[in-house]
Amino acid sequence: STLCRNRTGNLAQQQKKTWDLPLDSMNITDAYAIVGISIVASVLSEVLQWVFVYRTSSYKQVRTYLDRNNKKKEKAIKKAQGNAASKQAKKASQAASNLRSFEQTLATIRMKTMVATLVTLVPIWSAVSSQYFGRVVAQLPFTPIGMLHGLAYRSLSSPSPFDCSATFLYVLCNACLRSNITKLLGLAPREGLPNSFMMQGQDQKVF
Amino acid sequence: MPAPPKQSGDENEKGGLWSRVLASGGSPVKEDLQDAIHWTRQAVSLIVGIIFGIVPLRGAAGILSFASINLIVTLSIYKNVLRISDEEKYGGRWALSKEGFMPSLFLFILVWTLSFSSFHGETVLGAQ
Repeated sequence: STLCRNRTGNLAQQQKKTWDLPLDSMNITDAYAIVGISIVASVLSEVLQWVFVYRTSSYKQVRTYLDRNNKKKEKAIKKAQGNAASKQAKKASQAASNLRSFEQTLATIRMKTMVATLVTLVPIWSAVSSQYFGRVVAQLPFTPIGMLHGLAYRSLSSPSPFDCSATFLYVLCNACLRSNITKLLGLAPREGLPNSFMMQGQDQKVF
Repeated sequence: MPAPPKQSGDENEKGGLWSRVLASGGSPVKEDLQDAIHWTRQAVSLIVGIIFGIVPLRGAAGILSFASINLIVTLSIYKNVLRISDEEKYGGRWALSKEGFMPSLFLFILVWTLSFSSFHGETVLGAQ
């Protein structure tokens, strides 16, 4: 052990940094720490989306308008029964046109949610990758298939087939925990954002 | 006589998801049924992941076993417990079968990995 000066100027044992430890040792607490970090990142992402998007009155107005027109369109299509010249088909066409006029607003909303996601997940991912660079954080009970090798062994210098890098674990955590956290918190709308209306109009055979 | 289906969002919502679904008499609200299946799958992933990590079960056998257990449990629940009579009302059996499957698969892999590493990680490292 080595003595050094700590931040208060007192002599203390030198704290071993994560990258000072032998690379072939695995500390399972690293894996649990990464899971905890992923949970925090997901919660933060949801909260940001709610604060900047879903809570705003403008979003609620747009949502109400879109839902109303969507229902009108669906109802009119059902009543038209494939008759493109009928009054119902014209109503459906009008409702679809109203929906398409909101495409720009919808694109803006989608961009905001994407920014809220990227602003939380990417810096945290970057911090996790650098903190655990070169370290095996867990042992996989299976060998990852070919295309996952790059992700599973990222930053590991001589990985064995069952080694798991921090990046892989973090990606796995996000893949499974984000959807569950979204459902648990209930801040985002259940049905998510509507798909683009531009393609919908072109696909409608009834018009 | 089965109780009439309850709508989510009304005063019965405080009864809880499973209370509403079980009390619906085989015709729950679509969102409630989807949520019930989703959370059931997550619970199965958690339990099976921990068990497979402790045993330990390794390789493709683990993933295939999980997929089978997951499917069997889901189908059993909505056939025998919920007694869903009209599957077409909810988009068909396939739509119900795949509800929440991917998050449950990823959750299973995560829990399986953590459990395996916690109980057997040192053994694997020692063998290298």
